[in-house]
Amino acid sequence: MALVSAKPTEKASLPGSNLERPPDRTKFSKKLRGSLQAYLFIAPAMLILFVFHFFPIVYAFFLSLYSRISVVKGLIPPAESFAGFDNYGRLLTDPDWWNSFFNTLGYVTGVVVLGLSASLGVALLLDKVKQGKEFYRIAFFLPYVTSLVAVATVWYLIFGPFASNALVKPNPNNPGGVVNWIFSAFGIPMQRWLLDDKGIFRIIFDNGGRVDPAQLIIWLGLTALLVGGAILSYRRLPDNIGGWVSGILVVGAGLVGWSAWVELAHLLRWEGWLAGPSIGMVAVIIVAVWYSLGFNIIILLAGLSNISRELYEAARMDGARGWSMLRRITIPLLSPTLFFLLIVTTISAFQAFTLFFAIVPGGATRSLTVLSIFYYDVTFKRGSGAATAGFGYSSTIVIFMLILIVGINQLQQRFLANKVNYD
Amino acid sequence: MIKTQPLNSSVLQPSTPDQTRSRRRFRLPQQLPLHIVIIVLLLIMLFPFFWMVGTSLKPDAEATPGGLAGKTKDLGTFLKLFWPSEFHFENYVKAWNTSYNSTIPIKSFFEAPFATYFFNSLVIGVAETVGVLITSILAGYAFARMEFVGKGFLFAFILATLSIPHEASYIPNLVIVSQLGNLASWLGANTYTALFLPWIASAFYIFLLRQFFMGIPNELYEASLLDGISQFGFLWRIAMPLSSPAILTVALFAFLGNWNAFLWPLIVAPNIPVVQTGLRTFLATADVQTEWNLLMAASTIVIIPIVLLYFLVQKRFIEGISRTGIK
Repeated sequence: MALVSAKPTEKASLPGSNLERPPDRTKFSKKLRGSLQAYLFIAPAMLILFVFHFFPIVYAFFLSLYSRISVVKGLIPPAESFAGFDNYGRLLTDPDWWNSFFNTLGYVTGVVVLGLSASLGVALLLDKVKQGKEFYRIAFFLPYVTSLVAVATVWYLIFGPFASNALVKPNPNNPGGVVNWIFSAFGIPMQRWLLDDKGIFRIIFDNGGRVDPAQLIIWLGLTALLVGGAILSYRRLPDNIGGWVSGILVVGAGLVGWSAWVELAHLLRWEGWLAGPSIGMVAVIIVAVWYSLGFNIIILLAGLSNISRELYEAARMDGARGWSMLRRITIPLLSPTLFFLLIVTTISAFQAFTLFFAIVPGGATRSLTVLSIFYYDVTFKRGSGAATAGFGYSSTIVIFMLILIVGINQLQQRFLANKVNYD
Repeated sequence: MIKTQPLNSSVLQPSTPDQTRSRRRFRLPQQLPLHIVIIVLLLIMLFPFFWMVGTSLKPDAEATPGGLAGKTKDLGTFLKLFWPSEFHFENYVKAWNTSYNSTIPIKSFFEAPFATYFFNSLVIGVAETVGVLITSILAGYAFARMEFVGKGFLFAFILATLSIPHEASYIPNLVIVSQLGNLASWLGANTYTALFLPWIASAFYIFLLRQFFMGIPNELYEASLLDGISQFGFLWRIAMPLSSPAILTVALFAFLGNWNAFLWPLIVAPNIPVVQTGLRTFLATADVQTEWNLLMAASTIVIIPIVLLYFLVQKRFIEGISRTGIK
C-alpha cells in the first residue's frame, strides 16, 4: 500500500491528476524504494536459487580439491585430505572419463540432429493440416508428460535383447523384444539391443570381407568427385535444375562413400568412431527423440504460425516451391525458434540421466555410460562400501560437466547466433 | 448497419449448407493423404502406450518376452503380442498391492504400498507446485515490470543457473540438506521438506513467466497504476489472470517434474518411497522372473494421473508452452 503513495511522481504533470504532494522526491530515494519492494519480490526465488543451485557448484569446486572424503560430516572436509588439483589430473588421465565424454558427445549430436530434423518434419506436416490440428498437437505431446521410468520399461520390452549373455546364439523362437521379433520375421539377424557395445555400422556392414586398398582409393576419389560435382551444380546451375542434379549427385556420393567407409572400416578393423554409435546408443537415441518430439513440435508450430501467410504467397508468386520455399523462406524465418530448441535440446541432452539409468535394468553398458551415469557410478558404486566414497572425485566431474555445457553453449551462441534472423 | 447484418445472414442462410457441403467435399480428399501420413506417425508415436496397456491386461503366461515366441511371424501373431487373449483386470489390483520386499497378503486399498507412494508423491508435488508458483510469479513479475538496482546482474545470475545440471548439484545438496537437518530436524535428510525445498525455484519458470508478464501492454499497467493499484495488486488482479496459460504451464511442469523425480528421492530420502522409486524397486527385484504384466500395470497406474491432469488442462498448457519459444 505504501507504494501507491510513492508511485505517481512521474504522472504528476498529467492533466486531471490532482496530487497534493509536490513531485520533489529525489530520484535516488524513489529508485531505492522501488528497489526495496522489488528485492522483496525476488527474495524467495533468489534465496532458493543461491542456496540449492548456485552455492552447490561453488561447493563442488571446493570439494573437488579434496581426496578420499570418506564421510562428509561437516561442510568442510578434514584438512589432511586436501589434495590440490590432483583430482583434475586423475580425471584427465582416466580412460573411463574419456569414454563417457565421447559417449555423451555422440548422444548429444544424435539427439540434436535427429530430434530437430524429425520434429521439423512432423511440424511442417502438421502446419498444413486445416482440421484437427489441436488434436494432433495434444496427442503428439503425450509422451512428454509421462514419466521416463515408466516409459523406459516399455521400451525395454520393445528393444529387449534376445539374451543378456553375449555367448548365447540368437534363436528366432526367442526374440526377446518386439524389434527382434520383427527382425526375425524378416530374416534379419537379431541384435542384442541396449546391451551390445558393437557399433551399428559394423553390424550392418561387417561381413568379414577382405580389404582391397586400391579399390578403397578409387571409392574415396569417386566420392570426392561426386560431392564436388554436387556443390558445383548447386552453385552454378539455375535453381530448379540445380537442386535436382545436386540431389542425385549427393545420393550417388552417399552410396559410393558408404562403400568407401566400409572398406576403410575393414582396413582399420572396426575400431573407434568408424564403427559408428553402438547399437545400444542408437536405441536410446531413438527413445530420447520419441520422448521430446512433442515438445519440439509444439514450439515449432508456434514459430511456424508466426510466419505471415502473405510472405508465403509472395514467395509463391516468385516461383518458390517445396524445397526452395523451405530453404529460402521457412527455415530463415523459423531460425529463432530453431535456435531456441537447439540450446534447450543440447542442455537437456547433456543432463540426460534417467533414461540411461532406467532403460537397462542391469545397469548401463560401457557404450551407454554417459557423463551423468559415470558421475553416478563414481559417486555411489565405486569405492568401498560407504555411499560417499568418491565425493572429491565426483565433484571434479561436476566441474568438468559444467565447463563442457557452458562451453558448448557459448560456441553455439557465437557461431550460430549471427545466422539467426530476428526480423 | 446493425439491421442489415441479421437480414443478410438470413438471406444467405439457404445457400450456406450447400456451400459448406461443397467445400467439404472438395477439401477432404485434398487433405486425406496428409491425415493418413500423420495418423500413421501418431500410431507409431503412441505404440508404446498401446503396448503398455495391452501387456498390463495379459495373463501371466503370455506376458513375458519369452512368450513372444512362436513359429509363425505374421500380422496376426504380431497383434497378439500386445493384444491380450483374455483381459485380466485383476493385474491392476495385484500391482497396486505388490510390495517389492515382502509378500504381504492383500490389504485394504489405502494400506497398499502404492497408496503410500501416491500419497507421498501427491503431498510433495502439491507443496513443490505451490512453492514454485510463489517464487517464480513474484520473481518473474519483478524482472518484467519493476526497476531496481542490480536488475541486469541478478537476471544474468538466474539465467546462469539454467545450465547447471540438476544431477550435478545432488551431492552438494545432500550435504547442505543434512547440515540443515542439524539446524532443524524437519529440514534434514529423509524428510518431506528435503524432497521439494531445493526445487521450488527454477530459472526456467522465472524466465517463462517473465516473458509472459513482459507481453502485458504497458498502457494497461500505467492506467491501473493511475487508478491507485499497488504493484502487488496489479500482479494479483490483472497480470496473473491475463497470463493464466503460463501460470498453468509452470504449475503443471512443476508437478510433473516432481511426479517424475527419481534420483533425488532415491538419494535424499530412501525412507520416503515416491511413485518413481516405488516403480523402480518393483522392477529391480523382478530380475529373471519379471512379471511384465504387473510391471506394466504398475507403470500404467503411475502415468494415469498425470495423463488425466494433462488432458484436463491441455488447451491452456499447450498455449503456454507454445509461447515459450517466441522471443
